[in-house]
Amino acid sequence: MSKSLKIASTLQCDLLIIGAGGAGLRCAAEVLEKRPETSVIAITKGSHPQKSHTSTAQGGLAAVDPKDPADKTIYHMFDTWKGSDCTADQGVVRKITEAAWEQILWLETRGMHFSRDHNGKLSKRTFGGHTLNFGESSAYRAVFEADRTGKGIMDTCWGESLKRNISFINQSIATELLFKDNQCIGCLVFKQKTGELVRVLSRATVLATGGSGQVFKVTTNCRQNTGDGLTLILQAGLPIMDPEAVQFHPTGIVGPGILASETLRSVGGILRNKELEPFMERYAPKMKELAPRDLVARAIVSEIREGRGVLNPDHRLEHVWIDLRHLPDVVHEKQIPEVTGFFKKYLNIDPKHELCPVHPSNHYHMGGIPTNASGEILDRSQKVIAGLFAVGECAAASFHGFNRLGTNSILELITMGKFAADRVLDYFNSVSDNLPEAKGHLTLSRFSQYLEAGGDDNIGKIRDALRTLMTDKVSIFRTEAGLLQTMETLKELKDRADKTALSSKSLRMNQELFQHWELDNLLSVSMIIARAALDRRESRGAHYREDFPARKDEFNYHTLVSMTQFGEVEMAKREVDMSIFNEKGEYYEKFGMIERKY
Amino acid sequence: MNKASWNPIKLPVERYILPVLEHLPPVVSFYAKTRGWPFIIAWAHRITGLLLALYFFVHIYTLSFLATPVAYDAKMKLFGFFLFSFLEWLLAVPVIFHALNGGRLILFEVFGRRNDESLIRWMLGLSTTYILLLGLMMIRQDQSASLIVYWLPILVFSISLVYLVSLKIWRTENSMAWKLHRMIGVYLLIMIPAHMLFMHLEPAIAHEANTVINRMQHVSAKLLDLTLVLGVSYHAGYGLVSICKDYLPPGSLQNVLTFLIALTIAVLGWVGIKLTIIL
Amino acid sequence: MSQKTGQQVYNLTLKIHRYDPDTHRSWIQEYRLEAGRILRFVDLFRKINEEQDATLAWNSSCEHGQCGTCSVKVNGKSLLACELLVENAVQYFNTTTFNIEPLNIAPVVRDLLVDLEKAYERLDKVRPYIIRPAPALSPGEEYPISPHELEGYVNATRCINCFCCASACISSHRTFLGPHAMLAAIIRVMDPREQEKQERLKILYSDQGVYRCHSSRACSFVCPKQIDVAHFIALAKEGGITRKR
Ligand SMILES: Cc1cc2nc3c(=O)[nH]c(=O)nc-3n(C[C@H](O)[C@H](O)[C@H](O)COP(=O)(O)OP(=O)(O)OC[C@H]3O[C@@H](n4cnc5c(N)ncnc54)[C@H](O)[C@@H]3O)c2cc1C
Ligand code: HEM
Ligand code: HEM
Ligand code: SF4
Ligand code: F3S
Ligand code: FES
Repeated sequence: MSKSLKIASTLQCDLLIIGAGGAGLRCAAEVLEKRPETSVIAITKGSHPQKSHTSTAQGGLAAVDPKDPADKTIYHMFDTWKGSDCTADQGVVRKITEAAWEQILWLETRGMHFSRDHNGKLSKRTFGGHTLNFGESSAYRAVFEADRTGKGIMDTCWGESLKRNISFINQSIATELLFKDNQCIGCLVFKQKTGELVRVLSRATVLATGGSGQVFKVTTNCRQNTGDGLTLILQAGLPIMDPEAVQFHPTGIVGPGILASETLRSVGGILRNKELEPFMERYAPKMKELAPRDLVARAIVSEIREGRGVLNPDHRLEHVWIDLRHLPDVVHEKQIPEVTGFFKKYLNIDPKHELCPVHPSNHYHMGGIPTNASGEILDRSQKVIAGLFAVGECAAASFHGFNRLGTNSILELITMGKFAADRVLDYFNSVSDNLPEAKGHLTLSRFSQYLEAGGDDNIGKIRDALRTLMTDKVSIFRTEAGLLQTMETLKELKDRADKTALSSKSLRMNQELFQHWELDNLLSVSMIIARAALDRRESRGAHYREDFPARKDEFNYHTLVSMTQFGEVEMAKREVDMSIFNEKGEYYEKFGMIERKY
Repeated sequence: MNKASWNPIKLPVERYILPVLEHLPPVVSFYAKTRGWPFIIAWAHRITGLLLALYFFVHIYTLSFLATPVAYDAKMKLFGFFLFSFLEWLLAVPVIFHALNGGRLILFEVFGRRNDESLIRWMLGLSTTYILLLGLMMIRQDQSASLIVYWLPILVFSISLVYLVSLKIWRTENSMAWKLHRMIGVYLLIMIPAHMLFMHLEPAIAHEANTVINRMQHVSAKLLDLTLVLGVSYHAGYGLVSICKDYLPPGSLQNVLTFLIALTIAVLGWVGIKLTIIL
Repeated sequence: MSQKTGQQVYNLTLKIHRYDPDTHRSWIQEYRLEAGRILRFVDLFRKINEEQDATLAWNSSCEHGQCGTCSVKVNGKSLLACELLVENAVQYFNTTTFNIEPLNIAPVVRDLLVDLEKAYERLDKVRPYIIRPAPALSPGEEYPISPHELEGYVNATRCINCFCCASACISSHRTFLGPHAMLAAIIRVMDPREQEKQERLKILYSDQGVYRCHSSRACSFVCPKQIDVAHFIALAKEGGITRKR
């Protein structure tokens, strides 16, 4: 038993970064570069910034090189717009794609180890959905650092911040935003290692807490991605935008959910069910395995739902097979060695001779905290909340609309991080140096509640039930009945969670204590995803309603969801910004409500 | 484990030796599994280095009796006993292992021989040969050798090696102390095993004070021994200080120990030098 | 589906080293559990949390070998718990009993969780970034680096700072900045975009630097990213990192 929970101290800074991933630290690095005297505190839930999820991004980041004779920024804009299923905000799309190359150079000159071509220039590769001339042919637009592009970004942004004397508070969680007169003035932080609450007062606060993939049982996301940032915002009475827009990758490696890339199918891998039938022939007779991601994902889940899945006894999960046995050795060795390596490493399976189990895996959250093109957080009436910013996967500007293109996410991190920094610098000039005070009241009561609760349930088990539920009912296929039932079950799970006692009341590194807090966040995020999915009675991008399988113009808006009390949801809308279309410039007709067909 | 770490079994004989090695001492099998054979060899290098340093200490002490030949001969009688001969022979193990492995380390570190599994085999094979050869010498005890014929080629060879190494490392960013340690290392690589072999060509060479003293009247012998004393002193001193620095953070304790080592080595070295000169 | 070992479920005994920061008590706790052949050790820890003991503290993040958060010692070997499958562990160590300890590279916070912040302090000393960037050769363009030049150090850039190497090295952690820190320094010495070489060399060839390495190569042996760390440190001793290639 240890000391009781209280606010142990107060720290002050100019800029507070909540979430030291790629987006957060890109922002910090920019501010420190332009205004070195700024005091910056960055909080990370992991044991170190480098352990953030950004480090795992593999493929690359898209940017049109102005020296490239074939590629044009307008094509990148178009691809993004089309990919988003016409729900991205065009102002943001323009701003990000136009700044892309400059930001690549920023990374390059700060030491990122991009892969090079024989001239010593940055190599480029193609990526799904990125095209030349409005869909004509594949574009070489993604720069990359081998298969560890995200790591390169993370290391560079961390290094630049470290160089300029940022202070990190690691293994700590921001539990509550502090406000005074509609202005954000910092947050409360629970330091897991010491079990202390610390109040951090700041002139500007940037939320960059990353994704929320842990909501689902099978996910490519890291363990830290529990949607904390979204919950901080909901708690503050602010809305979340498009939470129902969640992307799934058709082939995650069963168990861990690790990404098994598209290449497996493009080199000739065949999907098979329990009876070893190559089932894609039934769903897409022409394209078969090469059909678009969402179609393939739906086919796989259909097979499983109809009883033709295979149960993996270790991970207690149904899956289908991908068959790579017929591929020649050179393909195994030259074209898919990394993915083959994953199967070997995590399943002890040799894809040359054995079938590989795959299941669609949650991959990315397009929805998030609504911001403008400078990363400033907006309330339900589109008013800027002073001193509060959001960037990265937790934010929705919205660059990706309802479906993100590969390589566009980490591009968003570094560009939006920079834009937010520019705005923060302006903001510093407009506010006084005095830091107002505020107490914060939620954290103490919530944590005391956790510590005092009685009952013999287990946080881990409830979390598992929640994640299974979301994977079953709110992932690839969504139906009204399923969503309604999910919302009911979520309430029950929340009740169960409230009635779970902690095995230890210690405050120091009490994993169960903060996992209870995380579980509450997962529950909240699940609830708003389910509710927003329920209200969107159409299919758009990654959001697929079995009962409403087509896109409908009446839903051409962003969903805004608020929820201050668990289960009490308020809905609102935000218009989709179609400024490129409305300005009627060159090619404007490509930016109307076009069909997403490849 | 997915890692294709070094599979030590290559030669057929090793198929039988290795399992024994791995199962006899549990510590060895433990480290072989968790850190690999080169790690064990690194420890062996360290331990043999320490043993040699200890031997060096005792050696100089014994040799100091040469000033009073009667006392020296009395002491050397001991070596007539089988047990002591055997111990002397055993000394060959750390000597040749440390020497050849030191050579291997230099090849690994500065000559780019990074895949040195075969080097490890060579090192172990040559070590065994040397140990057997020395044993043979000790049993036959009837070789005669002329100082010049034996030492001249060896010296030429050693110095060439030193020159070769110096070419390689002189312009690197390493500290002068480090460079000297490595250069002296290669010098000793040949000289010490040769010295040991020489001392066993016939029993009197090392065990009769007069024979030793007679030999030491030659300037060349004196010079040779001087290089040995200086070389070993420096090399052992650096090695001991380096071990300290591995475990003690910079600060007073480290400084005190460094000073003590330097002092001991200096005294030892001085005794050795004085001996060489006055004999 | 083939069953390599013919066994689908293993009865395991995990002897986990525990530490309670409130009472400063350390002890070894034994957990017995059944586990399928392809569960990872992180899955086992989670299973213990869910079924037996919610207080056992451990750490992970990406859970697919990309971040270096989950490093522990299993039967003495430093490795990533998220990469170790039950079946492989049984095969490699030839036992179903596993001794699990935190890495000894920094103070333990609780159970298997060490204070990585402290461990990172040694890495920070080599300044893992470009201190003084070279100006672009032509404005608005990337600094050209030939693939050949990059090839010389690109493997070192794959390090994820999992500290496995540091925990296995023959040198102690009180004095050596660490094999991975050497990599970080070596990268920037070899990187043509870094102009501040002098300070880098000073750190690299200092008492806390390369001289603490004795080529024991445990770093290369344990590195989960299969980086030949020892090669790079030897390259520094050889002078190969400053030589123009
Ligand atoms: C396997 C995989 C591959 C991918 N590949 C690509 C790709 O090739 N191209 C691409 O564009 N995108 C890719 N993505 C997506 C991309 O990696 C992520 O969207 C992006 O890294 C998110 O970055 P971030 O900075 O927003 O958040 P993160 O990097 O997740 O950082 C979030 C930070 O917030 C901290 N945090 C969280 N909660 C709290 C809290 N409560 N208090 C304090 N701190 C907190 C975390 O500790 C962490 O430091 C990939 C994703 C996955 C899963
Ligand atoms: C015979 C030829 C010799 C060679 C080629 C040689 C070579 C080396 C080398 C290369 C090292 C460095 C290893 C490292 O950095 O860890 C070393 C270390 C050392 N040597 Fe020698 N050496 C020789 C003889 C001796 C002798 C005669 C002594 C003692 C009297 C000695 C004592 C030591 C010690 C104490 C170390 C430090 C070991 C350590 O740091 O682990 N060496 N030697
Ligand atoms: C059992 C084997 C050995 C025997 C019998 C032996 C014997 C001797 C003898 C008789 C001398 C006197 C000088 C001479 O004759 O040239 C001598 C000198 C010396 N030996 Fe050895 N030696 C042995 C092994 C070693 C080893 C292993 C080392 C290294 C650590 C070593 C280091 C020296 C040095 C440095 C000198 C010169 C001493 C001086 O000049 O003061 N010897 N040895
Ligand atoms: S070098 Fe390898 S073992 Fe060491 S920290 Fe880096 S990845 Fe881990
Ligand atoms: S383990 Fe240590 S001794 Fe050198 S070769 Fe690696 S740093
Ligand atoms: S959790 Fe990231 S490496 Fe294991």
